[in-house]
Amino acid sequence: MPDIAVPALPLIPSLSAITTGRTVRASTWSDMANLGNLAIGAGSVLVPETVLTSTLTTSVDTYRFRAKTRLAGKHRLWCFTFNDNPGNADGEFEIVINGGTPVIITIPPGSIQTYRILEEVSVPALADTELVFTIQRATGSSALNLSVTVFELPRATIDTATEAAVDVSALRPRGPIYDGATLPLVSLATDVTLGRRTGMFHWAVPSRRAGAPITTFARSNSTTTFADVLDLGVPMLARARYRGETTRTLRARFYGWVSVGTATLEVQVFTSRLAATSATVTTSSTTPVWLTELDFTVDCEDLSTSDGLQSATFDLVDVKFRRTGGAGTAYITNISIFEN
Amino acid sequence: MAESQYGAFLRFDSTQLSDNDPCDTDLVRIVRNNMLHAVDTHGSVLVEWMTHGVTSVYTASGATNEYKRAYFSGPLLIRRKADGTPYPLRVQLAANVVSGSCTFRIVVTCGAPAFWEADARLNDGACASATTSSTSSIWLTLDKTLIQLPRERIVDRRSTGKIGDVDVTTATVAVFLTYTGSFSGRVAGVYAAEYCGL
Repeated sequence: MPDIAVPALPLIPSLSAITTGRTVRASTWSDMANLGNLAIGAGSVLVPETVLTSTLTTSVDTYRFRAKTRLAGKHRLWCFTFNDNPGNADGEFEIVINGGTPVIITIPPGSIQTYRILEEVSVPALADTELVFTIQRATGSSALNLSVTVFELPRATIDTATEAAVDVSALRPRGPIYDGATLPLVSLATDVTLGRRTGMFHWAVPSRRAGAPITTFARSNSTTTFADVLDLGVPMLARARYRGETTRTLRARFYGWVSVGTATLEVQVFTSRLAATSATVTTSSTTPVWLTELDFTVDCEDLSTSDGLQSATFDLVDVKFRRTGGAGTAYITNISIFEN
Repeated sequence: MAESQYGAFLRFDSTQLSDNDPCDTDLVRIVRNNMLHAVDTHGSVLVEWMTHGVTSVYTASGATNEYKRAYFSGPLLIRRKADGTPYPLRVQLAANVVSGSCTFRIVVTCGAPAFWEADARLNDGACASATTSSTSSIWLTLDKTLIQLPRERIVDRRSTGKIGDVDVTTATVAVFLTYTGSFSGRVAGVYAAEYCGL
């Protein structure tokens, strides 16, 4: 099947070209098809830049995220930004992404460097996908800050067979437009998941060191009272889909465990604007695991306002956790929130 | 601003465009609207992080009227509108001071990163500021929540043939600290997301 070019910019089909009593021209159909192809191939942020606050050591530390990867996500770009302290020695780090080939990075002292690592995805999928990397300091100082962002790169071309591209050549001027040629476009126009926000918030500290569970960086709670995972609630606005909508459902995933199998880790989400507490998800695993997904409701953007906020107020999302039952301690090391 | 006519998806019966059906212009307008809204709302969250009981991340201190960079992001994937300008970013900043007061300025640049003090002194609309004396972390009330990215440089990287010769536009977000007296402060959280509304 043909590969279809993805435009670099959205082409705006003229509204006046779609007028009652006049034939809709092929160029207008073509512009709309290009919009659809752009929505598919525009690239997508899986992990908004997040700061990893744990100290990097000579052990292998594992960081995990979950995001909604897409069919068109053939290449992921992982960007690691190191902020070193002046006076430190050179630092050498080994990074492994999703079990791939190790990449060695050298950080000169006092430098701010971003290193881009390209990951080729063998079988892109529309799925709630785990993204994992390990990092190990080989030499030098560990006194630096590290942040990471991951995005699916925009595509130059997409195909009609597996990626639902619209064949623009079937909509060319002065050629016949068969009714079947517009069907892929209609399919896209009814697919409200196009443009989903594939990654909205992540927090991660190492859950394993040298392969073994580690509690050094985890948030812990030995009480049966809910405690906040983060210092403050984080701003969250979902995208607006239909007119009049004020809220949307997002999906949260958590990674945690308990020290004693008779205890349970319980996690819930509180949203400030709606003053709403979500349902809870739990685990009694004594080794780190992803808890089952938790869907919760937040404000969506109000596109009639200057900044998208409803009532000029950010909806802040607090993640809370506690231990219930038995004794011991509940641990949590990862939060991922995205539009499912 | 949003390019779609209604700023939202409109529901319609897709079977109306089946074989042998006449094509209604109202229906075509809905298709147009929905495609534009899909592209508009593709806007992504580019930066979002928050500390968790850690006190030493991204601190800076300095003397009167100096600008010190405290936080600097990696490259962020941004998208452009039909006229080539990037979508504006909605921003928010959490911070605290060690003592006294401190002004925090969040700066967004396209292409070349906001690295130098001169970048922090820019007054071209691509920054937002707030002053606080809070010693515990709070979300600041910035003088604006929407930052329009500069338009002079919209494409900074042409990727290799290996990944498809596609233009990738990136931006960076930085946070600088300053004050009319000596200052010492800490960045506790940053949020930046593309917005397609008004």
